[in-house]
Amino acid sequence: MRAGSLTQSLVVMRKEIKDWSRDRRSIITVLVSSLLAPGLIFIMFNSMATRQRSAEDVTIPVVGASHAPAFVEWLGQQAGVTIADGPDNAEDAVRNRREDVVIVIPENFAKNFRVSRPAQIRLVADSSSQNSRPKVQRIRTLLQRYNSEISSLRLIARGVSPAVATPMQIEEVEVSSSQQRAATILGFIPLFVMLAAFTGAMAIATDSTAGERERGSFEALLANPAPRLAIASGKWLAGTVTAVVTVLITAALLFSMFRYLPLQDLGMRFRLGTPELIGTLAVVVPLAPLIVALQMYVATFAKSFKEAQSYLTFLMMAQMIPGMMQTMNPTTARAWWMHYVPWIGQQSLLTDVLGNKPIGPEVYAIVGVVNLTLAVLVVRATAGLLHREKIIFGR
Amino acid sequence: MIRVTSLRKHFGDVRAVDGVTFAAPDGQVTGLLGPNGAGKTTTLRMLYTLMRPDAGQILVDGIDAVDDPQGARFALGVLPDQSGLYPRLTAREHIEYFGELQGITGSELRQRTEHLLQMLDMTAIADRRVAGFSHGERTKTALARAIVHNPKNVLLDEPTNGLDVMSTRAVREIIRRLKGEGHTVLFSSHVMQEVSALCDTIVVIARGRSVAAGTPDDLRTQTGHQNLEDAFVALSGLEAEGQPS
Amino acid sequence: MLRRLFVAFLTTFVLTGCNQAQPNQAIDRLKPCTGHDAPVDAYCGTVKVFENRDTRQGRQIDLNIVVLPALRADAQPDPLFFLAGGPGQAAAGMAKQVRDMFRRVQTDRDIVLVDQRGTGKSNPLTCDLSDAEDDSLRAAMVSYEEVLGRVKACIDKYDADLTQYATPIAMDDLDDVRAFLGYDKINIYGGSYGTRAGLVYMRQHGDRVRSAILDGVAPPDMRLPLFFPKDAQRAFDMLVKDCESNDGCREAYPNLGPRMKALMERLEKEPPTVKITHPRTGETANIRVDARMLANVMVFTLYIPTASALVPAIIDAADRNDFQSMFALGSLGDGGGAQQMAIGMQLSVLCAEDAPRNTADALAREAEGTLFGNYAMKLQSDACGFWPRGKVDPSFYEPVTSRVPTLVMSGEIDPVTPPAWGDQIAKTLSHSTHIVMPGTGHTAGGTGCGQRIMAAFIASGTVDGLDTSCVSRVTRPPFFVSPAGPDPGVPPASNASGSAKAADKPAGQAPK
Repeated sequence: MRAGSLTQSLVVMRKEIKDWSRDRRSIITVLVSSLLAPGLIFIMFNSMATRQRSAEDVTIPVVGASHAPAFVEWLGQQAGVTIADGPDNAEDAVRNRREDVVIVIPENFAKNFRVSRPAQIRLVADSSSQNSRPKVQRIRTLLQRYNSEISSLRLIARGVSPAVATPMQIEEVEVSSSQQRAATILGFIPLFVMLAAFTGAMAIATDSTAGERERGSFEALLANPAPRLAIASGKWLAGTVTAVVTVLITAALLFSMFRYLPLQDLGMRFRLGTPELIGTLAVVVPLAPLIVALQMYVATFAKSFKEAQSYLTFLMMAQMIPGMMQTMNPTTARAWWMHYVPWIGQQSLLTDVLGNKPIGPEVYAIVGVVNLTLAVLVVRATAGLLHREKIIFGR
Repeated sequence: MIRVTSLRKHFGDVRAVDGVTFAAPDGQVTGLLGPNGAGKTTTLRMLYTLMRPDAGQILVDGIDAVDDPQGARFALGVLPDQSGLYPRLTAREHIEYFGELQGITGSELRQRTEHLLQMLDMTAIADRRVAGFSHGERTKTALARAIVHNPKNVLLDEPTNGLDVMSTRAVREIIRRLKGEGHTVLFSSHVMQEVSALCDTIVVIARGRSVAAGTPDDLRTQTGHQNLEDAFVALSGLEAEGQPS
Repeated sequence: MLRRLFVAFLTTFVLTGCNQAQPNQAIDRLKPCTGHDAPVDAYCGTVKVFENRDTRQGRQIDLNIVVLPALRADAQPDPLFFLAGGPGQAAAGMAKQVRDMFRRVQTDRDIVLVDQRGTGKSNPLTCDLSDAEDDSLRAAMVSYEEVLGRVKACIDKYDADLTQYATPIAMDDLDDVRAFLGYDKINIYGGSYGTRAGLVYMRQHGDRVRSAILDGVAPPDMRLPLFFPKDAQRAFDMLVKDCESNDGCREAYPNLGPRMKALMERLEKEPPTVKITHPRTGETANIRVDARMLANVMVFTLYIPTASALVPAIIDAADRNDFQSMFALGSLGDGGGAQQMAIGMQLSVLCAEDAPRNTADALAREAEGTLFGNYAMKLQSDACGFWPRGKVDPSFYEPVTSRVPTLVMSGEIDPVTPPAWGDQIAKTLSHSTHIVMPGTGHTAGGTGCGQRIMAAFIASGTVDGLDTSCVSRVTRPPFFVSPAGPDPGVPPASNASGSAKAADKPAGQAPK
């Protein structure tokens, strides 16, 4: 009997995968959604790198250069700096994004400077503009350097050691590796891979539950002598297969694309190789069955395909919450059990995997067992739903 | 052989089935006749175990369908009221899918499928996806998959509903053949002619109750109407008049 | 069809995903650096070498290695080796500055820093010339004899054969490190003494060098400190000339040259005792100010044009017997953080390579008529009288001939490695170019312009087509004409001593 139901669940799985593979729309969804994430990341990082490079070779428009030629000359000699004539109305030019940043030197600059009064200089910038931020930061650093250079010399000229003006020497000690820091910045990768599991299973999860109901094929199927659990688990297995396939494609795409990201131009040193790929899959793949099980459980309540899709959209948002929380409020100190809580664990484990932090095989094993156990429980619950008359006949 | 005794089922305040009793003997065609909403479909759903009766007993070849639904399902072939198909699968795949679920495999499955396709005159459309099928082709497909395991008892819920003349004839032919092969055939209909043309026994259901049972002749005799349709109206109408208003 | 596409798609990407196995990398042989003073994201390790590379017996030295790994995943196979100056500076200890200087290079290549034997953490031969813990003004008054005595005392405390620390030996060490890290070819940057190290490496292991940058050239045959007095004098003369050609400076500090000469003579004859406030602690004391103090501050300051901006003001004050700002300038290095020069290693190098060719007569002759001749590196010359001297082959002094693409750089107003040395070595480097950075002191690679040129040169690996146009825009930082700083309303004399450039100055700014 048990062997029989296993066979039956495999029969259901085969049928669902065959059915799915003939659905042009679901295949295209999988392909497009797995291309979408790498594509987005590629565009995002390239524009970030372009911005960064624009800060290295920077043209600085200066208004009132004739009020402080010595300073402007100094500025022009810094690496990659070109001085340009500033616009007539600096504020307007920056507000209308014709310029990213403008330096304005007021007329009284020299007068104040000559008597060691702080001479005013205006850095006109729009901090709501993402594009100009690295450029503004670079210029600010240059101005600070000029300040400290002149102030040191002024102190010496008065017979005082510049060391006096530095009561504390602040030394920042970095304990994480560049890989780990980059992994935090790239914290959305886990999200995308988990999302892949979600979108990959969505077609089967909805089609094989709410879809059957909407089509009216559920009744005939359930009138078969196959146990409900065999039917539910067969559908679940099929969804898991497509979820895992989508995860594989997305992860492979992400990883192959990473070689072409200009991370080095952002000062990041980041390596993604086969060990990280395997680690990522080892973390996300066990989650796929649970995602599929939950999708099916939720979709089983829906009376139609459309209804199921909107339920699943909520579910998708819910599963993104842990990831977003982590991105917004990254906690470094983590309780041991957090590894084993689905979603939260995947997020934190993937940060470790991508950060090259060693993870013991037992952690992978426990994650697998926990996720699979939960998945099986949810599948049983779904099978239970299939006994309910309201679910079978309710429309 | 199906035996139903004092079946009851209510949804909230609505008593959908309120005392249905009948028997469908082997090798006979039994028709459940009644107007729309009389409780035919609910009765059949309880028979094929997707609904649980509030009271009453169902025996399918002696198996209590309430206690052992799975056992009962092995002995049943069902063409439900809602008999949706999978648009991306072919007719053959539908038949094979249900065959496999019934535990039929290999050459047996192939032979059985081939047999059904020929019997239902479907060989030409066997390997086409059902998405483009006509109503009749769909019903044939659903029927074929319902009886792929050669069940002793066949339940058909309004099998000719919405079919054109040719298709209706084909379905009738199948029912006769099933009868000829010794199956117990139980089908529901609200169409008098259908029932009278096919059935050995008619069970008239109205307002959730089985109000009469017997051969067409029995019913005519019982009501005193020579016309079966008049007999039917009288049987269900009597009930209506008997209700307090 | 769609399904086949799907399968093809899947296999392609899974395969490419797995094909990323990287070749063995240098950092696989090292460990991430630990400790609060370790550079961020760097890899550390050591290579053992025999102190005596000929006998291959006895004492061994763990050469300290720091690698700043390339950022790019598909990095170039040839790293940049940074050769520190001094001699006596430790390359690994300069990781942070080196990273800043070669940020663009690190994008594509590993940067390798090796503490040369005798420096940093490679059996350092350090020697405290003054008591670093002494925060009193008396520390400034340590006599020359006492300093020399301290040097002598250091010899006995070393666990080292001081004759084994010369450049040719150290460059064989360096090639061991290269081999250990698995690099086939390397690029080198040598600054100051590092240029000598680089030239020696090019001679001994030239087939391993893809390209070389030699910045502030001190070739093997330089005979330090023989020409130092004249070179320092040249730098000072240029400063005086630049001040005079600038209206503000000339008006504020007229007659600077003769006044400095007179000042030195006065301090030599009758050193005044003046009240000085310690520039850092604020403690006051009466200090006898002698010519050696002034000379030391001046020579040190001439290395750094930014600080040289104060020189006219300081001379002017000192001339008026106000030495406070001179002391402040002299205290520049004591703010902490500046790393210690391994004096013992320096002497082992200079006494083996330079001292044998300098006679007392020659030294006296070259110092003749210069302001700082009696003081510039006198300690080194004298110490070589008692320091254990290693031996170098006579061929060591021959010009290094090489076809390796080489970028030679000099600071125009460098007091110790002036452009003449760069011109000299460039003659036998067939694929080289020599860039003289205007208004720049000791080594030119640190300037914004220099960093760009070096990065472009290492990227292309050739001097052909190298864009050096930014050089013409570099100028000496303007002189302080008041305690507030340079005149903010006047652009600095655009090219320190450049005659051609003077003509380009805007009208009205030309010297009267």
